[in-house]
Amino acid sequence: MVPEIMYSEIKCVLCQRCVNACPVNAIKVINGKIHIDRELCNVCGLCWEACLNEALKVAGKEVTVKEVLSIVEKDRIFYERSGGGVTLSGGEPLMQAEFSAALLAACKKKGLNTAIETSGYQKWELFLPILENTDLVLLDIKMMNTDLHRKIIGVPNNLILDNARKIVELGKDIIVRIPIIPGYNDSIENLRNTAEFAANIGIKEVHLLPYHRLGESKYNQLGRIYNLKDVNVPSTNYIESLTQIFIKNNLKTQVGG
Amino acid sequence: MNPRIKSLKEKILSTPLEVSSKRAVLVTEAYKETEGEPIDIRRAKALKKILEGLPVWIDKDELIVGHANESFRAASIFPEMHISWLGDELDRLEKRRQQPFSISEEAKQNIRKIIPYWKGQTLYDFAFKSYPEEVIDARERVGLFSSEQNERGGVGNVILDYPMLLRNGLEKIAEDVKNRCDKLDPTDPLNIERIQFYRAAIITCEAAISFAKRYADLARSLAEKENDQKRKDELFKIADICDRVPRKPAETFWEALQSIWFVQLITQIETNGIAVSLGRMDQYLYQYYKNDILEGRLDSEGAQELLECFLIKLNELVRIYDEKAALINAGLPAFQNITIGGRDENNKDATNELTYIFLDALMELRLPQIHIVLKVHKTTPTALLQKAIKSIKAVQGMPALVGDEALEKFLLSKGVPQKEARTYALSGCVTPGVYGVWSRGGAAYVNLLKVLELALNNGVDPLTGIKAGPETGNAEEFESMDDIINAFKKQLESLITRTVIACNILDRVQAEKMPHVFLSIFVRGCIENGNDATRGGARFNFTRIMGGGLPNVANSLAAIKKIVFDDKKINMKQLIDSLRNNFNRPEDEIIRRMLLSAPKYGNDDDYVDDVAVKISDLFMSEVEKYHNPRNGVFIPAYQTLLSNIYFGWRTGPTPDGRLTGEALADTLSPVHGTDKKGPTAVLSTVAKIDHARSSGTILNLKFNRTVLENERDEKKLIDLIKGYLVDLGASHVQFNVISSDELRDAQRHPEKYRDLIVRVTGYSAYFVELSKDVQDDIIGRTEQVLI
Repeated sequence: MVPEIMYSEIKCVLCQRCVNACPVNAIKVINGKIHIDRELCNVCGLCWEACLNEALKVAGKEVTVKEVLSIVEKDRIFYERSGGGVTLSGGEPLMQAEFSAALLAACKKKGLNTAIETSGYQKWELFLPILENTDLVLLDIKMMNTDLHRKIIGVPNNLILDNARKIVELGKDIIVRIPIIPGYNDSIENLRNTAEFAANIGIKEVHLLPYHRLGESKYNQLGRIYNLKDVNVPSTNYIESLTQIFIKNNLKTQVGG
Repeated sequence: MNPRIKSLKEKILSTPLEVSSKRAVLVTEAYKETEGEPIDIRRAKALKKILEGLPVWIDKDELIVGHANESFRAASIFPEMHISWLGDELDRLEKRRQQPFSISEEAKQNIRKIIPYWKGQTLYDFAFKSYPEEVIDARERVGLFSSEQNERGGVGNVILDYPMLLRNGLEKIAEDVKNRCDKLDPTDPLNIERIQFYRAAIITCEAAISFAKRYADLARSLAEKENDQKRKDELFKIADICDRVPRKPAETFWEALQSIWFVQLITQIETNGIAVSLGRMDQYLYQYYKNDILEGRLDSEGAQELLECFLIKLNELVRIYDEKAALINAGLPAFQNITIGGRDENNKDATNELTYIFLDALMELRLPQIHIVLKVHKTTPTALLQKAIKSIKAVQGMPALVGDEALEKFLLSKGVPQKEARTYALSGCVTPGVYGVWSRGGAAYVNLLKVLELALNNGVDPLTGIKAGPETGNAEEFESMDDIINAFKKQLESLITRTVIACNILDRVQAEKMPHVFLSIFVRGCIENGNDATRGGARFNFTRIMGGGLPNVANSLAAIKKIVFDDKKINMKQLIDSLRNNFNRPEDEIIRRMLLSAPKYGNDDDYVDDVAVKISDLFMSEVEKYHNPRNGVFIPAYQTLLSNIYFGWRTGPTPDGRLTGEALADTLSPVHGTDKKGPTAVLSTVAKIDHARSSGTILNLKFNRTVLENERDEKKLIDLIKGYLVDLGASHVQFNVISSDELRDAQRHPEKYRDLIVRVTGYSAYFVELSKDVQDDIIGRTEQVLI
């Protein structure tokens, strides 16, 4: 995991101060747009400092467990009141499994409530130390058909489903979260299978998360291609109708997280 | 909504704002008739004359009766306080930018006729003639502070002792006053003023009783002519009630409300006092409510209807200000605060059925001059908070929420006994008080950011070139933060001194020229001491100075510390140059960006929050040094209403990156767009300021409607509220629940949003009645998201 430069076209006035500031000549103006060569960029941050319009910023930074903990501690008074706490979420906490485990252990030591929001795709040996200090697991199950899962998500789903079972067996509180992405995983069949799977292994609660496009601008700013441009945000009524599938399986069902 | 309430509400909404000349003409006649008489007697006789001459009328839907004017939404004029402004604005009242009013030709004529009589003889004139030049310079020419409110109208910000009224009735009160008066030794020179005050008080009580009698007679004659049997019965009932109250003790819920309304109305006809507040109505009305229920006279629906009739009445007291004051008080606030919830004397939660009924009425009416504050403490029932949040969503931020702990502590520190401090109420937007506190609510607002501007300019105001403070050194040569803070401190001392002079002079002028005789009867201590509230008759006497722009000062100082002294990116000379050039040169933009990127107040970052606390402590200590002519002390508060916009106009570019003319932060809320760590960080920052030392500390947060859609969201907000007010011991928070898109749409299509209410600051107003500046300011407040 490394920090990256984010570039907001809307805020940019093309003053080219960043172009001049970049020591490795990674920034150029092409067709009236700033272009960052991300191969060359070493994220030194000089362009960001030079920018007067906050059009450039560094996304991500290296932090220690101690640093994160001191930020977390600031809101303690509110956690105590609400029973809330710390949730490690996206990106993907399992991609930095060791750090996540250490951070959660530190939080637990301070008596904080902990949760993770995860795809569940990680070897059990690395997952388990995280779970040991996690009070609540919010686990994505995106689709039940392994082949489709492999094709769309890029990996098979066996590991995720196995992990789901094991988490339940560990006695951890777990909520299954299903992002509803029209045309990809919102078939009745998939949702029914998901509901049955969840109910069978002893899960009690699911959240349906309707697809939204809030991430699109971030993709653009990071110079990445957003592949779901054609997907429409599902209507509230539609999502409400899908909850019936889960409620029928005696699952406590909620729309939104 | 029941048809009666619906119809009454519609009358309030659809009646255009208008200026009435009735009171102005009557008070002028009275003053002409009483020239040379002692001032208390003059004031009392003036009130009597007004109450005898005002038109009385009863609308066909009314259960609670009594009007200040001939229409539902007319503003009275108080020429004895300030009239020259109206001479200037008379012909453009209908077209002025802030709060236009219609006025008939006849009223214009009447007002033109009386203006010469008052020339040089108003409260405002007397005050102005008494102020030293340096005070006028600082206030009028430089905009260092503002203290106009109490020189253009009476003093309010007081909680009237309505339980005493309900218990005794005016007849017995007048009798008591007479007994006290009779006991005084008239040969003792110290008693001369006391006897005059007592005699005047008796005149006002009799005048108020006669005023109610006029309504009783009218109701009876209307009843006799009425064909509808139901209304006929109601009118007879109204006649009986107005015969009894406020003369006699109230015996029923209806009588209690009618009695309070008469006195509330008459005190404001007398004084034009802002923020004449009603105290803990759910508490002291409860016995009347319960008795009526037990004896079958009333059910909860009936109680709500009566209460709503009463609350609608509060919207009839319309104020008119000159254009500048109208900006600071945008939206015609009367601040007639009603306090609900909280604890009883024994520290137990005091919630009762009426507490809930007040919230129901609030939600049903959605009218802006119903200013309800809910006291929140450890054991405030969750159900009550849930209802409060429903109401906050429906009525745009009402009720306001205050934390018991901070405000109780504050009152204890000012010598209020424990049991009273615990059962305090609010006046004005969120001024804590008990019966017998007289605190000159809006005495003065000071521009702390301008203080910094002077510190960076050796005491000379860069906008006007006027020397407005002591010479504190050339800022280009400052070598450390201490140098800057020292200069700031000296400028602050100088400003507070001048503000205190202005406040104290006005205090004396009020005492001499504008006693509040009838109102004083309900300010505990005045009758006992035989002394008017304006002269120090109250039990507790404060003068409040409100600090404005603290977040900007903190941001500015933190930016200097970071960019100049810690990171050494620029030096002081470059900074001052940049400010003098109004950030206009290309290189200034780079400097401004640096300043903007420094740590900002509102993100729970001690780098800047520590500065805020330090400056706040300096400000509070400075204010606390002084005492007022009423044998009381000056107290600090953070309740700046909309002076932040006015002060913004008067303040040049500042090191927080703010440009000339931009509004200052809204009281203690972060500067628009600079709080980026969410609501908990904002609350944590603001809670670092010593709330228990401040007589009211306003925080406005705006939530987007979409984040408070279901019960889960509401639960989160309750936790946030309790975390702030109970755990962090903060004193006040208010919410606007609306989307900025909605507000922008309301700017474009005001006709569609006629009843859209927003929290302005510490009070609510119709959005569409606000000027565009104020609207933009509200839209700009960061919308918070609850994750």
